[in-house]
Amino acid sequence: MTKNKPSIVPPASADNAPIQIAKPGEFSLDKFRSKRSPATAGIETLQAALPHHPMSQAKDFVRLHPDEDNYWSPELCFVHVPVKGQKRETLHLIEEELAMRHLPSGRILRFRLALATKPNDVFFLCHVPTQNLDNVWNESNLQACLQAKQHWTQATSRRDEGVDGYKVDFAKNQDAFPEPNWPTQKLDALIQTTFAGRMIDRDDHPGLLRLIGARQSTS
Amino acid sequence: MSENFGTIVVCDFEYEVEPGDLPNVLCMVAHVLDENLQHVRTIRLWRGEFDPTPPFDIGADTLFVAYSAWAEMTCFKVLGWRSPVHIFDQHTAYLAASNVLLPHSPDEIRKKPRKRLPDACRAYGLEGWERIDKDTIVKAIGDGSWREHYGPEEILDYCEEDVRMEARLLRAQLCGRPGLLPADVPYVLHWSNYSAKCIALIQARGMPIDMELWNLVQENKSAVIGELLRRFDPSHDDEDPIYTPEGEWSYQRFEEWLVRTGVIAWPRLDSGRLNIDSDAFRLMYSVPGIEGLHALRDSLGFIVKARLPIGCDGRNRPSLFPFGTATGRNAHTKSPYNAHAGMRGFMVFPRAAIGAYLDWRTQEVGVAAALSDDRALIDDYAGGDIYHALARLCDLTNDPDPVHWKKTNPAMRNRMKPLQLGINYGMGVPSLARGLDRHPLIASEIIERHKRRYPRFWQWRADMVGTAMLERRIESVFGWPLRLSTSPNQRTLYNFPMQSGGAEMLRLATVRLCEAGIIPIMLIHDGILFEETEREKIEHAKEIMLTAGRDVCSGFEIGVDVDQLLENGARYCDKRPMAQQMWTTVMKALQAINAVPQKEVA
Repeated sequence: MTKNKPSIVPPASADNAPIQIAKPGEFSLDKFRSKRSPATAGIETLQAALPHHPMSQAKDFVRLHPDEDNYWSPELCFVHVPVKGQKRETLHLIEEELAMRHLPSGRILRFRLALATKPNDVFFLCHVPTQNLDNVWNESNLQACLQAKQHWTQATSRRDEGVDGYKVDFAKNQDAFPEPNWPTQKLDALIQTTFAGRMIDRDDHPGLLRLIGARQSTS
Repeated sequence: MSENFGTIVVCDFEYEVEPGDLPNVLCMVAHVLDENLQHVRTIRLWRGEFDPTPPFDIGADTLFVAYSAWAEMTCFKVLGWRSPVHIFDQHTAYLAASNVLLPHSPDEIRKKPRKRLPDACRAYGLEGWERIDKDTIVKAIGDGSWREHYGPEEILDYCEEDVRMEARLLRAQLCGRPGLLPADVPYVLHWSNYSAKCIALIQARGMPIDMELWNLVQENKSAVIGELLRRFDPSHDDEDPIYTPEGEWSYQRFEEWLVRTGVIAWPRLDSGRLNIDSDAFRLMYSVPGIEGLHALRDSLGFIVKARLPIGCDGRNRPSLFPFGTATGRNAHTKSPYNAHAGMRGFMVFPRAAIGAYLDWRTQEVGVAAALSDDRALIDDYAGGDIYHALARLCDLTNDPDPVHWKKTNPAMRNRMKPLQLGINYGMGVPSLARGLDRHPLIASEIIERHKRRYPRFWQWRADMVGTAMLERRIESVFGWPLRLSTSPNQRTLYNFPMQSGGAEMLRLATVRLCEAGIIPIMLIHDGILFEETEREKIEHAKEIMLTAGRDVCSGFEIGVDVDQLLENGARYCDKRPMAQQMWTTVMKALQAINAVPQKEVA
């Protein structure tokens, strides 16, 4: 109802202003055919904040992005910031230089983030270990991550069996699940969205102030 | 000749009418306006003053304007007048301008806003009828009691007030106002061909009802209801049956019955209440007794309430409510097509006539295949039975022959119908699992297989919704618009192209049929009911329907089936087993009390 407005459009208040109504031309159904093409949009769903966790917490078969150069981050630094009233999302990304300057090394977690998915495009950021790789947990976890670049892989803790490390399983039929339809957003953008508000990048960041026991400024 | 209309006639009729009958015209008022919409003259005619032709020009240079113009066109027909060349139906224009998909809010109980003339005027900020109790006078005119309260001049004054408001509304509709876009005149004229001219012709014809049998059922209602309850209420022998002996449904007792029988997975609304619409029932047909209960629910309302408007000539003339839904489909009520299919048995065609019900084959899926241009979906549709393709996708059959499968698996095929549509409209895993009576994992796998088999359809659907969300608007193939508010129900958007495409097909075919002199007697979702005397006309009608399908689907053919062909006074008999059981039960109830002879029970 937007095309072909009346020939003369008076101000809405003019109750008696002249208005003319154009006659329709010769009838042609094609005149009414919608010119909108849904396919022109080519819309891709932008990923919002993704969950992030180690591979074993997926509790399902997992694939990691095969492009390690672009969809696996370098080693990053993280810290848990206790927030009263909030149990989840306490893990903050922190610039290494700030972390080294202010925090004991034991509080700093280091691992890579890789774009990963469960079957049917349920995406998450997978924690990929980079430290203490002689530790059997980290070693088996890393092995599972590397295998998952090519295969649907599941990592399951063996702690309940009294055994250290992860049991690494592959899907019985690798074609049981469709190939991932990886998002085209860059990894940096995905990480930035996921950790929005939880990136410690300055000395007076509330998270850092909390960790060093400094007074918060609420102004 | 001028490019603009030289004359605009704003017109309104008042008439007495009994339910199901044609109007008995009382009076007419018209304001004749010039090409600048300036008032030239007023015409006021009372019963007995009407000539064989209208008192104004109805040629190509004149625009005829009315609100719900199908009513005016019905009066034209009763008076023996030809229809104007160009009609601007203000109701249709208002429906288009105010067709807004509200935010999805399942917990909110919404009342469908009324869109009568005063409602439209209010929406455009126009005040009127200050000195008139419009509701009272409308009722008095309709039922003929006006004589006790009003004289002809008062009725004419009232009629003229409507015309005065319509003229103001026309001006407002052409200019638009915030929230109501200016009327697009060529589109409104195009839609009005259907909503005014064709609808008037179709409603005037009506469907032939076996009045003797209808009256017998009404006279012996309690016996018929009792037999239907015995046969189809699965809780009939319980202490707290779902239905009262009078045939009244209880939501609470239905919920209790579900618990008693261990049906814990009945579909629920987001609000938590049981979903008791037809789709929910169809999904649960795998539960014993549910299909019968659904049929009972749809039949009892028809018999108990008996709101069928039947004229003195024994013809049911339901209101078709063109463009009555957001997708542009009709919203007809009070017909045998608003009840269980078994109730269509009340229709019997005259011996000299041919009754024919023609419908488009799996119309929505065909439209989806054509619009998405998904090769696999097109191939499966063209294969003759899309439900067979779904059954194979679900590993429910290995039979490669759709015809053989259809013949040997009618129940499975019936279960595939809502699932095929449901998946297209975004049905989730839990609903599909319930519909298939399978584990959610299987349902999930089927949806994934569907995605893999029809990837272009899924991409098209996502793009279409994405575009609609960005533009806050979606429209049908030929421009019927739906505007979006914030956060609309995505499934409604998934559904829109298929439903609105089907609606376009029906409208296009109807207009062409009427132009060809083949006036349908009823329009039903994806089918058309005819009453003709020559078989050639039925064949011609089928051709017109096929062409309309191709026009909507850019050349792709949507098949048309002759579902019913009734000759020599045959009774309409829906082919589905449950419909036949339902009809047989009604007849047996009458037979048991000797209201009809034995031979009537087929």
